[in-house]
Amino acid sequence: MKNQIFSTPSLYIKQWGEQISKPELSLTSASRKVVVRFTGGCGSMSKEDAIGLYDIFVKAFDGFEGAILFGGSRMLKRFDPTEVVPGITEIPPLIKRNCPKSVILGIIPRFQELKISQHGLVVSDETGNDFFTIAHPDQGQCVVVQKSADEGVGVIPHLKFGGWEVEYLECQRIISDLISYAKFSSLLVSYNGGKVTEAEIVSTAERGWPVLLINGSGRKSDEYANNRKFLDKYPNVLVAEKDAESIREVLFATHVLKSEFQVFKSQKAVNE
Amino acid sequence: MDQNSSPYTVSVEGGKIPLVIMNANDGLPAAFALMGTNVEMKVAIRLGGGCKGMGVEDKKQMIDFFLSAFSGYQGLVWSGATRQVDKNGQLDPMVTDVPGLIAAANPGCIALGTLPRVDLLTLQKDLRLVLDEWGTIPNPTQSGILIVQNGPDGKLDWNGDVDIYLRIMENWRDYAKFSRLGLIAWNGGTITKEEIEKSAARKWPTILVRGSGRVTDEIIAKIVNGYEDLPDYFRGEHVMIVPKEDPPYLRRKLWNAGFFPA
Repeated sequence: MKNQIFSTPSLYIKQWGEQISKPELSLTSASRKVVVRFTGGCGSMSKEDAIGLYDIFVKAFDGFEGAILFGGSRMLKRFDPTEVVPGITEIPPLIKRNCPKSVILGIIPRFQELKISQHGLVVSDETGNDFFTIAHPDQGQCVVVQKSADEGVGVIPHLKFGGWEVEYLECQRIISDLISYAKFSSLLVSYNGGKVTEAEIVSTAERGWPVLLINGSGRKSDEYANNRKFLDKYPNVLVAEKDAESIREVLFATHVLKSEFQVFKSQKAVNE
Repeated sequence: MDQNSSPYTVSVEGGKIPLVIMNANDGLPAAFALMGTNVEMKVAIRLGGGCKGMGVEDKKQMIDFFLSAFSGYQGLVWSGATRQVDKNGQLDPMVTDVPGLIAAANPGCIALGTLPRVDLLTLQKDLRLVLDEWGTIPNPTQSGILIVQNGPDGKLDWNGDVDIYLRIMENWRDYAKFSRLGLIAWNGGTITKEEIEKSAARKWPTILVRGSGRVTDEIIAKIVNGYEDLPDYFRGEHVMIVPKEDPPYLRRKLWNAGFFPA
């Protein structure tokens, strides 16, 4: 995938814990009161786990009219910045392009100074990585979270993962507001992912919010998708196989998609 | 309006009214702004004004006027979030009681309120929350109330929430896709004058009820006299005059301005 720019996102920069209302209000402009949070694999995802990633979700989410929260960033290859490194954060902008009634909002925890480059707004550029990270250029709006104007989230005290959990904690705060005050329902979709994704899966399950684990996506999502004890303990955690039809069935069952869009199966049968 | 029920009884669905408290210099609270998005039709009208000089029958007529004009309304209607109780413990109806009545009569409509904290909040008698020395209480018929304060122990004037509520309305329009914003003025003093001016300056539908008294009628008189001493932004179709004896006329104005379903 090439790094192309289709829109210029509105950027909000907020302090950790600061009140901000405009991005949350914009999520209520979605046609349907459901918010999907995408989490999981990014820089550490293997090439194999990334195969078919985008196609699966674009097909599964066809007709989606709700809101999406995701890590609002894009990874570019250091030695060829025109090339995008596959990651879960590529999915929501693709869904949005296919589903114009949906609304997406990216959340980026800031660890370093932001830099403007010819490739976009650089939010992270760590030596040792063969990629650097920009604010995703194909999202309507994005919230960057920092500790202060001087300091990134890495110095916020009492965080277990050195600030990497700020993204999902901020998403959970927004989702909680949408559920509590705007009558939204939610779904966490987890694909691949490591320790921070694990923390988010468990934390979301414990809240009683719906979770969808993609079995076959690798790493922590697979681990929990095949953990019978965990699934028995949390009936709000569902599993789908890594294919569009399986995911779409769950989206209908959880009312993320409207039932009148439930034509995928019959159309597929006709086409075959 | 049931004069026999206690003026202190919370009458909203669920029996609970969230109170969101913000400092005047804070960012606008998402929780409160989100409450407004639960309406069936994304439009918002602010009722500004007062009831000074009005007798019991005048107030009853005011309530009937608005209930009739707003029949079938499915948007957001809001006002100051106060309620007056007389020294006998009886409700003294005000403009601020109108939104809750409209919402109760119209499914899909939501009533909210804002108020500036003008004194320290106190708990009195059976844990009643009282806003000032006159016994003013929060309105128990609104689904959510935003209290604006000047820090934990500072005090604001009675116009301390005006700019806040105007910004919230603009955010509803700009971010939550509300299609119409407007103001209706009834009676009122200097604060109502400020609200009318700010609504008119924004080119919002600004509806003045003739015969309601005080500053609303004063401004109407100036308009009728060729906009005497009034700023230019009062000129234009967005500033409308409706007689208090004619609720269908208000309703037609609201309909034409896009506040009812097509």
